[in-house]
Amino acid sequence: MLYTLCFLLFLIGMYGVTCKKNIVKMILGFLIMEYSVNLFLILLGWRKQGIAPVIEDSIGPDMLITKSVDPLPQEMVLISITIGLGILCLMVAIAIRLYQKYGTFDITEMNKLKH
Amino acid sequence: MENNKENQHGMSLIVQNTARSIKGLIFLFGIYLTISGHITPASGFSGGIVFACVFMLMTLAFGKDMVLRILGKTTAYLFNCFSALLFLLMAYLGVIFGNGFFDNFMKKMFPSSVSDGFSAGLIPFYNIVVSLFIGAGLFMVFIIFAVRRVIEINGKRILISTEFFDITKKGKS
Amino acid sequence: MIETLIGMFIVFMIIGAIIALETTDLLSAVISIGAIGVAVSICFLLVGAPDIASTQLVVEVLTIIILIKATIRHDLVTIEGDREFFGLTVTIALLFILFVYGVKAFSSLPKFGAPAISEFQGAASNRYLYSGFEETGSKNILTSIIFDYRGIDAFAQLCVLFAGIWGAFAIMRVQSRKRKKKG
Repeated sequence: MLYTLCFLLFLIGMYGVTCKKNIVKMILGFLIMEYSVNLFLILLGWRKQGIAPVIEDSIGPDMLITKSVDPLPQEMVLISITIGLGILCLMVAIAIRLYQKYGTFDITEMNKLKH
Repeated sequence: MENNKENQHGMSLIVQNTARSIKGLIFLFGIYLTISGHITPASGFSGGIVFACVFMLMTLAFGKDMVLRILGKTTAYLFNCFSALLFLLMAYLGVIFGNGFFDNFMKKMFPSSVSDGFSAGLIPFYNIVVSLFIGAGLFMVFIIFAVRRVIEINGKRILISTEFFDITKKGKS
Repeated sequence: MIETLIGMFIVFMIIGAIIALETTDLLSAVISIGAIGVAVSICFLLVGAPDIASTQLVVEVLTIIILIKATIRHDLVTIEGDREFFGLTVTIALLFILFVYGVKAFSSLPKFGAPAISEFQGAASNRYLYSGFEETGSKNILTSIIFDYRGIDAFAQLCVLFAGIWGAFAIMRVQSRKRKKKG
């Protein structure tokens, strides 16, 4: 059920990327897709009554192996979040350059005013 | 020209005083997140982004002149490039002293107790280097976005950089 | 219990996404994106990933600052519609077909609350959890995975971030300054 809702969020982001005319709206759709994929990967590794994979005084390694959540998707998501920030910077830079060239954020206008 | 004046003065007095008193605490929190990355749930990634956020707060509150004087763009470039190089070098040290790429050789050389802060060998150093890389890089991108501006002259749009105007103006006055 | 809570948060995020994509004001769209990001961060906190929650929260603040500072200034309010009716219909139909087949694929995944590491004892995560503290000395298993077991992942991440940041810098370069120096 939760996976289906995550997939719905992903499809809404894809609708924004494909169907919107404004470049900023397309960037926002890309961000929504990124959030939904991150959330899906984290939800995939959850265990019932799971705890975070951190060793404390009362929690040893043999207790962790039966109780902790899956740390591998968390590692991937942590890296993917930081990469997403760099990609966002690149996309915003390209959007500003297009605005400087055409004077608008609208894609159909850009097609009309070919230089 | 009005925009330039606004940027020199920054925001209102309340925001400036709050930012001045709070910026040290946020910087300390970033250092804590970075140093204790192997003990508590934190890492160099979030610590580096907190570092970038401190400079962003100062840019928004005091205007970009003051931040560019404290941490120039060239310094940010150097931090970014050399921390990336240092990361590669530290990974390559594993080939020389240990068994292979990314080998944690310090853990085997100096096995220490758990209560020690640096019990994890090279991992705290990796955290520090990554936090420097991310903090410097994101600050660089933000200052580029804050400095560049699209203006319209004679019906033609060009992209200008406003940092040089402010500095020369200040030097004259 | 926790399932319904996360479900409510995801429904909230879906509503926020629709508002962000359909509103005509760019500023309110960016603020809606901020609401979605904070909801994602709370979900991470609920399912046992505190370090990712803190990172997501800080990244969210930075995302909003960059979007507002860089794009809002140029033209504040835009009234915009969708593309042509035919293309819109075809796209929505294709997305619906994708949804139907995707839901079928989800039935082969492990159930929520019973991940693969609890069923397969030989999974890689089990070894990381059991002997990670002994082999690397790091109490936080996530950090030991990032910088020791899978260090090349972190290295590739650094490369991609470096390329992205310097690419943005190269795109935003001002060329008129060079001409002044020449002339």
